[in-house]
Order: sequence, then structure tokens, then C-alpha cells
Amino acid sequence: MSKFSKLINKPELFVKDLLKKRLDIPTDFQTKEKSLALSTSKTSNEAKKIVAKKNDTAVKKVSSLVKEVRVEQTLITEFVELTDNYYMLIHCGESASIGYLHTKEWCFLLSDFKKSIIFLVRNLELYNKLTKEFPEYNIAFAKNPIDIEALLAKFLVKNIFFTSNTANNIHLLRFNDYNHIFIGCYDPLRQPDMHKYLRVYDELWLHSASRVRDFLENNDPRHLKIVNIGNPYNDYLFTESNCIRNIVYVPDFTIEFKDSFLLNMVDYIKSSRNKKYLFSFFLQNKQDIEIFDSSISQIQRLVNVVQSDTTDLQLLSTSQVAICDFNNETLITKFLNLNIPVLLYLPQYSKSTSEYSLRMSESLVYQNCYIFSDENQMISILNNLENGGDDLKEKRKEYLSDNSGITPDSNVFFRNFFNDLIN
Amino acid sequence: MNSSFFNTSNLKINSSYLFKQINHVFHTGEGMMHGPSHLNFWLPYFNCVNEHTLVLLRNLELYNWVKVHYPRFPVAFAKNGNDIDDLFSHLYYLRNVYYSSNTGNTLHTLKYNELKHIFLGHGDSDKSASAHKYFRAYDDIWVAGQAHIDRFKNAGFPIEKMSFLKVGRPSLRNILKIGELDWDTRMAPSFLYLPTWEGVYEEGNYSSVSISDDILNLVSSLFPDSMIRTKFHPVTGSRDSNYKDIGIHLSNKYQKEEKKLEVFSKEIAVDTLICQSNIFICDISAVVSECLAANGPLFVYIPKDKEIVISQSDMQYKDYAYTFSDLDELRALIARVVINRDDYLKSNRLLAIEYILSRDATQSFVFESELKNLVLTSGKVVNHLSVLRQ
Repeated sequence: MSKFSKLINKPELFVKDLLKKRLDIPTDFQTKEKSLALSTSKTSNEAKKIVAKKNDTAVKKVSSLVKEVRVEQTLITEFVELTDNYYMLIHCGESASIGYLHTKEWCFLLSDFKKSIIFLVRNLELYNKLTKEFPEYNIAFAKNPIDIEALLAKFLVKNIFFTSNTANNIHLLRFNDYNHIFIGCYDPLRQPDMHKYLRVYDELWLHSASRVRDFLENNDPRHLKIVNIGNPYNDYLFTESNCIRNIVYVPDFTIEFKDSFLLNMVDYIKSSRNKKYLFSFFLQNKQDIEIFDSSISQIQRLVNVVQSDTTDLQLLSTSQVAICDFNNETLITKFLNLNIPVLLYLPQYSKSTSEYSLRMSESLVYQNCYIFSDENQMISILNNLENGGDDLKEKRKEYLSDNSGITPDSNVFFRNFFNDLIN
Repeated sequence: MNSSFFNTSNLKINSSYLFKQINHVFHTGEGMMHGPSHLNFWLPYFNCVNEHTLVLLRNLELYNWVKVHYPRFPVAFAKNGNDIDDLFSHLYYLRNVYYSSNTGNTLHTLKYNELKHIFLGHGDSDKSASAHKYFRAYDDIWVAGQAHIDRFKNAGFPIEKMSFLKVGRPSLRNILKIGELDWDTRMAPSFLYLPTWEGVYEEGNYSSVSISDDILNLVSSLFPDSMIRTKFHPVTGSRDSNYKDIGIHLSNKYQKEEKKLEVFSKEIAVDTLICQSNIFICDISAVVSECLAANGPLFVYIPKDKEIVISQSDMQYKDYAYTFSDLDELRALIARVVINRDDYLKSNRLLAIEYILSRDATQSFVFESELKNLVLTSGKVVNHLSVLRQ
């Protein structure tokens, strides 16, 4: 049976075959297919004649269906409520895995504003994942530049936010009528470099004073409005408690063994001197695990050993104190960003002692740590902390505010920025 | 240096060029659709600094094309952002990066704070793509004339902090010379019709391609003995496939009808056709300014029933071109201007040539002088590697 005679005699079959062979149909379209099949199943001989007479119309209908399906595949807005109010548009041009982290974070952070936001993603897999997980949010998918054009024509938008610098941002940035704001994300591993490209935006919303400084030191801001919106992740960071139960120790296997507090720590843990603390050993890579296993297996039953890529933040945030060997500046920054007091081991009588002292004087990170050189000093500092003698508390708060944008009221501060845009 | 490092599937360069003092990178993020025309637009005028200029492509096919067509230039292909980082880390003398268009992948090079980023574009039109916020990322925008600066001024966002330099239009030097002779004395009426394509965005679709056959038939009926030339934009039909083969289709049709209508293929350069013609019909596009350089009557199609979103300079099309929206208007204008020799916009056209194209700057080689000024002669190493360490 030729395609044309199939269209005339069995239009339902024609459409079905067409859809089956040529199109990748989204689930919602199947309803349309069913209703079309139902309407055409009534086809009697008389109806066939009508169809034959109107085959032109039928072809047109089919092609319009085809068009509709194609449009739906590159621009999906069915999860966005059409209203007369202005939306904030949050654009994520990333792939599924990274885009999920970025968008999910902003979904949580801006849950109070979800009715006023459209999350626009450019990856279909990401779209499917997000709409499944956040069905109550306005989430749209637009594949091509022309789909962006159609989306902006459909919904009222004033401010467009960008969660990262991706090549497809240009599809929105070319519109002069909108206010383009870079908001980035709070993932410390995915912070953008402070470079010239950021000048494509109207506003740069950074998350701490240090990021603002970083940008201004490296760039002429030109037209850019630079705003420090702070960091809203502060719910648990400023609770006052002197109780110390969980302590995390971070040995460094890259420095000389005698410059590490590891053996002293092992000795302390397995002795009867430790009566109250639960220790976790935080090992940063697989090699650390191997070294640890072979050298100090005797305390494995006494401590919780974790590897950094597994339970990173969870472990960090449940510890009340961190004890670190000298080289762990990145990790120490993480502890300080969580407002966790850090005890830093500075070996005495080591050939590296003078080098460590010099680095300490130059690094803001180390200056926010308690320094100890033996077990007695460590115990003394821990006792002080338990007795309310956290002398570095205020300094740590300043660091936290400057480096991470976290202050006791940063949550309110953060929300106000978005509130102001909506109202 | 391991030479195989620069011959991977994502990064290619003739390694012998790495030891040259490369001060300039000419970047195009386009593919084969637009890339060759952008490169043809500028590379001949980089000849004066060719040994200091690396042509950087982001498309492998275009990389191979450049190697064949511009063998005197060092050429590189870098696919991703990481590949750009690898390449730039070896270009110790690099100072300036030039861009022929705004493509998404420009972000990989624009992040280098210590390099100077200069936007050159690929023509001069009032299309909305000519002046938008993305341009703010560049350090300098080199424009042909004041018109382009005014387009930014009228685009609705502050431009005080943007830096512009008028360098004229080197690619139009020959045509400007031809235009010094009056159009009606240099040859018999000879029409050139250059419709644009349908554009990346519907907002920027100003094409007359849907009535192109009617336009050509109209001109042919008015001037049956004159040669009428046309060339469709090379990417016509790339968004709307209905027009994909329109050039071939019309060419075959006119041959059968034995009309003096010639449809030229995309291989023929527009400036060659402009030099052979003295009356021009165009859509809103960069070819308006190219035809303007030839200083002949210029008819520009302005679609009706459509909101025209353009980046308007301080001189509108109607100030220096005969604008029309349908065939009746075009017929009436041709009758008055060409048949009755009432070229009433002639003096405005001359003003527009200076305003849009900077005839003086073009003829005095300002572009080439500026390029030479930017060649680093001292051998100072630019520390742009700091970006990589961030």
C-alpha cells in the first residue's frame, strides 16, 4: 500500500506509522495520537470519501502535527504557568550532571520564590530529571536560539540570572531589554575565575567580600554593578555550643613523616588518656588509605576512617573540632568556612619549622587556627574550647564573612535581594 | 616540546609556528557555513602582520580550509576551552585576540585578562546582532565608521565605558574607488539583487527571499535588455529549508525563459558582482553598506507587517536608500530614480558613505596602521599564564 493510498483509506494507520517511523514522540503526545485515532476510527465509506476529497487538508493537519511535535521537542514550557506577572528567569546552560547540581541548589535556596521563577535549562535529560524531582517549580527546556526567542516572547521577564558561564548564555545575553545577572553557584569547587568575560553581564552577584575584591583586583568593572549577596548557608554555623564530642584529624602524607602529628595522635587515641572524644581520620586519597592501612593498623578499631571523596561535607559538618597537619590549607579553609575551630600542628625542632612559620605569617587561613606542637598543648586548647575559651571565635566569624559571605544574618540578607526584585 | 602534543584530535597546529613571535590571534568560532566569508573579509588585510598572526579555528573543516587558502598564516585548531589553555600557554608573545563574530565559544579566550580582546565583526549593518550587550566583554571594538558607534549609543544600554576605534573598511577600498565616478556615467543600468538569508533568529529575519522571483521579474520587465545579477546569501535555507535550493531553482527557470537574469553561486565574491553593477537591491544586511560604497542607487527592502528590531544608527535607511515594502513601491521608485534619472538621495548617499564606512580612514589604511602599532617588537613576555593558575 502506497503512503498516499494509506492516507486516504486508513488515515489512522498512516498517522500511526508516521509517528512510529519518523518521530520520537513525547509521552504527552500519545494522548493526541489516541484521540486522533479515535476520531478517525469512525471512518465509514462515506467518511472515506470526505477524507479523499479533503486529503489536502489531512496532509496539512499531519504536517502541522509534525511541526507541533518538533516544536515541543526543542521548546518545552508545559511546566511553566502562564501569568501576567513578571518572572525571574534562571538559566542553566550546563549538561545534565553539573546542571543538576547547580539548578537543584537554586531550587532549594529560592523555594520561597518558586512561583516567581522560571528555571530554564538547555539539556533535555536535565529537564526530565528536574521536572520529576521538582514538579511544583516552573521549569522550561529550550534547545536552540530560536526557542529562547519564543520563550521570551511568551513569558514576562525582566531579570535573567546565569548560574555559570556557558557558551549558550549568548542566546540570552544578546537581548538588550533584560537585566542580565550572574549569580553562579555556591559549590566551592565550581567558582568562576574573575575574568573579563564577566563583563557581558549587567550585574555580578558574588557571594563574599573576598570574591568582590578578587574581581576588582583583576578587572576594570566598567559598567558592571557588583553586589555581595552573601551566603545563605548559615543555619547551623552560629549555634553556640562548647560541647566537643567528634573530632576530625587530617593527616598529611605528603610531608615528612616526623612533621606529621599522626604517630602522636595514634599514641593518644590508643592510650587511656583519651576518655571522651570520638576521632575520625580524614584521608584525602586512596594512597593515604594504603599508607594508613600498612603503618597504623593498630588503631583502626578505635577511629572512623573516611576518604574525602565519599562523605566529605557530611563528616566535616558533624565535627566540632578539626586537627590538621600543616599542609592542608584547602581543607582548613573548608573547616573555617563551616566555623569549625582548627588546631594546626606545628612541629618543633623540624628543619621545616622556619618555613612553616613563614607560611603561617603570610596566610590568613593559618592565622585563624590554634597552633600546637605537642599533645599537652592540644589537650589544653581542647579544654579551653570546652570551657568557653574560644579566643579565635570572632576572628573566625570575620574570616567567614569575608571569605564565604556567611554572617549570622546572611540568610535574611540573601532573601532580600530576590524579594526586592520581585516586589 | 612534544610535537604530537599539538596534533591531537582536539588541538592542531604546525609546531614550527610556535617559536615565532605570535602577537595576534585571529579567532573565529564559526564553522564552514560562515567561517570562510568572515576569514576572507579580514585575513587579506592581516597580511602586513601575517607572520605575527595565528589564525585560530574551532572547527576542524575550517582549519583545513584555511591551511589551503591562506598558507602564509600560522593556523591552529582548538576544540574546547582546555585546548585553548594548552595552546595559549605556549604563545608567550601573544597580546591581542581579534574576533570576527560573537560565538558562544569566545568565552574560552575572553577569560584571559592580560590579553587585549578586539572585536572586528564581519560587516556593517543595522541588524539587531550589530549592537548588543555581549560586546561589552571586549576591550576594544573596531568599527568601520561612526554609524556603528551610534548603533550602540541607540541600543538602550550605557556605552560610556566601551572603547571604539574607527578603522574604516579595508575590504571596500576598491569599491570606494569605483564609486568616485557617477553611477550613470560609468556603465549602462546594471542591477544587482542581494537578498539576505532568514537569520539565526526570527526577530532578525528581514529576508525578501520569498518574493525574490517577483523582484527579479519586475526588474527584468522594466529593463529587458540589461543584465540583472543576483546572488543568494550562501546560507539561505539553513533555518528555513523551503529556500535551500532557491538559487538553483530560479537559475534553471530563467535559463528556460531565456531571460537576462543571472543567478551566481556562493563561490562568486559579492564585491566582484558589486564592481560589475551600478544599481543595487538589498535587504537589511551588511551588503547594504558594501553596495553603498559603490555609490549607485540603492533600494532596500523593509518587510511590512513585521516589527523591525534593528540596531539603528543616527542615519536611517530611508535617508540614503530607496526603501520599499512591496513590488508596487519598488516599481515606482525604479521608474523615478533610474528611468527618469531623479536620484534624489545622491548627496545623502555620499554623507552615508563617510558616516558608515569612513572613506577617508579606509583610503588612508588606518586599519593596517593600527595592526602594525600593536605588533610587539620588544620581545616582552606577556604573563597571561596566570589565568591558567587560577
